[in-house]
Amino acid sequence: MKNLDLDILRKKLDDRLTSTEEEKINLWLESSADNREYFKRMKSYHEKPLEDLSLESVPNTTDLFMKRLNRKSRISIYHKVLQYAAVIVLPLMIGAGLWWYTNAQMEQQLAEQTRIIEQEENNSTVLITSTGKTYELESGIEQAVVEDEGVKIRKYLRAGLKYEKPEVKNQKIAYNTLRTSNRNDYQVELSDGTVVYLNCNSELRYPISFGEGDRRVELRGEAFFDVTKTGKRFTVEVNDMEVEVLGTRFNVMAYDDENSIQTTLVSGKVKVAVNENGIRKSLTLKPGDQASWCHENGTLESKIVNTDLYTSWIDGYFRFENQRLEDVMRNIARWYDVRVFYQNPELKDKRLTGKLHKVDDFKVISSMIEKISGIEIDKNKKAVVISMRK
Amino acid sequence: MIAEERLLSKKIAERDKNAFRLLFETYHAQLFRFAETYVCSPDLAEDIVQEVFIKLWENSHIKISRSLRSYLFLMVKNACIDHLRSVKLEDKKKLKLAEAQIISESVGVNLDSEVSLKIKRAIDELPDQCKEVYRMSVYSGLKHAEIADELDISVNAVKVQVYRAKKLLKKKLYSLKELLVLFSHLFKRV
Repeated sequence: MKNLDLDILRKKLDDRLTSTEEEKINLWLESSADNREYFKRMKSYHEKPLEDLSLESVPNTTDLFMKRLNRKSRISIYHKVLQYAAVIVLPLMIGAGLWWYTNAQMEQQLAEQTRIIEQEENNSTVLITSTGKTYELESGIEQAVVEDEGVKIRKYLRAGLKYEKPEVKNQKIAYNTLRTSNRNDYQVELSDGTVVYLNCNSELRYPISFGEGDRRVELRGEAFFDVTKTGKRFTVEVNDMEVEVLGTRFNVMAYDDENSIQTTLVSGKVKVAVNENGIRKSLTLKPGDQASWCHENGTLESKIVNTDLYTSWIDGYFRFENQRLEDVMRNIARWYDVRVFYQNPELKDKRLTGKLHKVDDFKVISSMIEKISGIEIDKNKKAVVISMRK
Repeated sequence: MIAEERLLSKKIAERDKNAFRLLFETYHAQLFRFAETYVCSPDLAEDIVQEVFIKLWENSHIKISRSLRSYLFLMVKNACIDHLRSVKLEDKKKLKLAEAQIISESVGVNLDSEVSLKIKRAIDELPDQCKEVYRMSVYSGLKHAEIADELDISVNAVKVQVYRAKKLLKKKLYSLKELLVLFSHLFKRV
């Protein structure tokens, strides 16, 4: 089909079409939903009074844009990061008493592990729609990726995905799943305006438009929620735990390799509820509280934390404060999709404090950690070996 | 103005973020209205504008021969045309281009000499004060307050005149349309 002259659409809006033009337009409208959508937008734009199109009324997005730019260019910031490396506080020392694996043993173990890991190479964020279709979400200018059950899903360049509120309420609730892999985080705005930042190697399942009842989503991995107040309850299901809110900002971290699920509340109010062998336990959090649910021990506790430490990942940082090396590395390993091996188990208990940019190159991060910790990090394909500096 | 832009351009090549911020702040509104005229969606327009700036930042080593301003408008225009193509549309008579330039008050940007000429002629036919205010605003790039000062009228009066000019120009160019179509056919056949 040949491209249609835009001017014909304008004539249609002015109701001055000839019959051959009418035919052309109908053909164009029938040929795709995107075309119809464009015509609808053009119509409402055309009806806008000129006063609404003044330059003064354009929203100022400078701050937002600069924030995105900073995130985007964190690789180029790398040199600056090195200058600031001195800011990173020195860790505690560890005692002596090392023992070594024999090199042969170690290498064999690594070879086996890396072979397994290399098989699962998958490097992109995918969206799985209610019909089971899978879309890869790479960057680039694109819009209106998919239309699922009458709900428009749009992909915004920097903002991620956005679900538009449907004009007609759907009877059926259809679900989409967003899945990130390593080195990828992604942002999605749900149909009620709630924004979810999904960290790497995580999965979020959500209705493409919320029905009349409560709002419910399912999470695996880690996500930060900025929930829009609508008067309806918003519930995040994570394994055997639920977080209930009305409108608030909080982070849920529930990676499989962590032994507890951590819910960190930034603002508002949330209720964390667990179901342990039929007995329901719950905790209500205040801003600054963090709840930990350890399924193994059956403990649900809360403590006051510095929430920045647990939410800085959405701004592109790894942050840690007096944390064990093993915990820090687990976080980093997820992002870079590597496996970490310790030559000496005592190394795992070294304490680190610092703030690192999630630069694309693992080498950069590892050299920073080497600098502050007195350890040596060697990477061979996807295996990372941590040893005492010689 | 030009010296200022040259300095800005140099700073940006040196990856000065404050300079880049200033550039964004200066042209964002115009570029946004320009893109919006084409894509008819504020969200999409914002995306296109931001993407153009990000590209510029990532390729800030590229030498820009003409002005930064022209470059930005050209990039946004191209992205808009790409979008139109994705919905099987083409701005054959460049009326959208004319409209986008009028709405965004970017008439002075050299995007298409044919369209510029048409707009210039249409401006010539505007009522006197309207014409003067509009020219000062879009060609000389003066702020509303500066024009008010210069002509000794209120800022509101300047706004009203700019608005009136836009409205008249839009109407004029569209009523000229049938005529323009005729001409372009004649030219093609020759």
